[in-house]
Amino acid sequence: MISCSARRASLAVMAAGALALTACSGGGDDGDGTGSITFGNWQWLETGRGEAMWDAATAFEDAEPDIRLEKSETPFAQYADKLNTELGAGAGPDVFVVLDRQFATLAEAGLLEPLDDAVADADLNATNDNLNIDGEQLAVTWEQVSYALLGNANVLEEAGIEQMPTTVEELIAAGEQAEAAGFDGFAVRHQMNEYNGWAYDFPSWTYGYGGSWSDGENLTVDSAENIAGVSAYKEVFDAGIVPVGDDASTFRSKFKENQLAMIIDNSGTALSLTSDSQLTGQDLVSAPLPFPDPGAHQKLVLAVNANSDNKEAAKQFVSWAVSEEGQATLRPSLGASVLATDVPIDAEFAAANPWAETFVELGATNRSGLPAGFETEADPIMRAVLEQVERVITEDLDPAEAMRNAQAALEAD
Amino acid sequence: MSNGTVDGAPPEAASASKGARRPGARRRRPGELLGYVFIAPAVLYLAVFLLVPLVQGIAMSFTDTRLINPAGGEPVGFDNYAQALGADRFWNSLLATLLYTAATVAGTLALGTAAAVLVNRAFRGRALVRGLLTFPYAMPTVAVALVFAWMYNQSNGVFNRGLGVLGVGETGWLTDPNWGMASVVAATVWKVFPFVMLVVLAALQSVSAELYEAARIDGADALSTFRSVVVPHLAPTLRIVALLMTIWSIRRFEIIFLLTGGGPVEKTNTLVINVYRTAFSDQDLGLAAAIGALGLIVSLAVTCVFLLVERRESQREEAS
Repeated sequence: MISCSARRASLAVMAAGALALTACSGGGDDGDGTGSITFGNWQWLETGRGEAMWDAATAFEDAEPDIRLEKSETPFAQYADKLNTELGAGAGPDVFVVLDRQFATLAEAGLLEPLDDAVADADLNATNDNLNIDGEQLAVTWEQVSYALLGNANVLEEAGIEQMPTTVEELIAAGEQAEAAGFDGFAVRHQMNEYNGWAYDFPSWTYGYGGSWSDGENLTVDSAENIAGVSAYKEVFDAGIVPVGDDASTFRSKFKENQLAMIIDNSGTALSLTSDSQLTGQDLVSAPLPFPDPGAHQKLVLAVNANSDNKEAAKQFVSWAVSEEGQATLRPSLGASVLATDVPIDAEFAAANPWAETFVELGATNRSGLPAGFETEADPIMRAVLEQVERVITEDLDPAEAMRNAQAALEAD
Repeated sequence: MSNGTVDGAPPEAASASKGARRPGARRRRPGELLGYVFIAPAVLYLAVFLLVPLVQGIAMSFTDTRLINPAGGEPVGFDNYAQALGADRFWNSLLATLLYTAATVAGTLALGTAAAVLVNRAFRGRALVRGLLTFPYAMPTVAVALVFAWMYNQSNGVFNRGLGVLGVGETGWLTDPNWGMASVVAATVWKVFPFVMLVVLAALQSVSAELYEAARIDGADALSTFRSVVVPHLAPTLRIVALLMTIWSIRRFEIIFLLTGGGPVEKTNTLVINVYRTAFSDQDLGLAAAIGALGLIVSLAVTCVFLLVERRESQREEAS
């Protein structure tokens, strides 16, 4: 039997615990628009440009001295999973950057704060249109990155490759030429342990042949265009010009160290590659994707946590970020990407980075890699597709059969 | 030590001296309450961090809970279980789990026991060799995975470089569906075998020198001595270690996830990896909980089989 004093002590401990929990809880206050706000973004950890991007973001503190930005860093591979878990639990950073694939599910779950007031004075461009859900602007474009074929000028010159390839056949020929000169020919993501990145990189191959994952109402994973894109991907791997097993960080490092001739990557990566002293803007050459049609783009959006304790301050940051001053400040660190407004690329940057022009041109023509009408199902769809693509390149599965398998699996679900 | 009576008196006498007590009522022994106090923290820990999440997880498996709205799940009955059991992915992941577990347990037991027998012998530098063999177990799993990923790298890894010197072509250690599982198992065995070695070494050191001496006098050679003296002595230890390795292998996550992420072509997509992907990539907590519950049943079944074997062996040894 528990004695009276023990019971009293237990009650005291429970009461103290309850008080502590109460003190720790947020209380749902929107804040008064001052204090500190946490800003979540995996890009803070990107070599070279991460620091420049953070410096640009914190210029906001000069405009709003009562608000302080605090960095919330998570590597890209874990970023989406961690942020989803945090936001689902009512926690997470006050303001954050997310991929559009993640935006769709967060918007549907009501976890994003409407920003209409915050962006009312901004001259937003069309990239923000699909971030307006049911009349509410739930996010704004942070950067929209295009995919292009990038070449290491030093390697290309040493391998005797004079022109960037414009077709898959030319890409294979150039890759073989680089291999013959002792370099790796060409690299792209191709493994499931890089699912989050691969799911964004791969659609450029199918979109490049006029494909898409849906027609707005039904899934079209097994369309002839998508099969053509997967076949092209297989041809490149079958040619033996890809360093199989290299993840993105490995092949990007090889590229920077003059060991790899070409990659297909996005404008954000292009900027990162030239952000330290290993490669200069002149060492990087760019060309449109070697496919008949434009590829897919990846959109990173800026949103405010609906459960933030300091929503007003977070919205003030968004307001600054899309203002003329904010866009001009952010532009250099975001390189050749399309931003929330039509702020032009800095002339000095363009001169130092001739590769940027290709991305600017591609920004006008490429399409969203998300399956229209199935945006919240993008992950299961891409997972089903990529599992089959992996079989195509490792088990020699016929691309048409692979895409039929993916379509059937998705329809069964 | 308590002798089971009050004040050392026989039970009947103690009972008689407390004639006022109700018949059948058991008197609490001194120190009994203290025992409960001692186990209370462990019980509380298990209840808070194991039992409550377990019950919540099982309850969640009957709902359509999504990751981004964990409190908003609606009951769906056995739908998640039907979906999981009806999908090839579940059966593939179950097969991958069983393969990975069997290969890892066999590999670690064989290598760990061999290493223990080796370092149990007296030779110069034994302490150094023991230290070196223990080293993998002390290394962080993430570091092991990254180092192995580099060694397995198809174009620049040390394994393929070695094969290249021998004139053998490149092998896709982590990208070829025929090699993915073997590569992950090899990395795991390297990381975990020192645990088996240490436990078996402790058991070996408890074998009486007189037994070896008796075997030698009886004319037994080294192999016969190992089979007739060492193995029976090690058997209970090996059974327990095998059980622990099995449970740990079924639930191992990080080294598999970091090396292959479940690929190539689902070959290393064990139940735990499948649960992670379903919960976080597909954001379907309800389905992930159902897969987890099915995995728990598998784990419990394997544990029960081990315990039955252990009990039967113990009874057989006591009888002999």
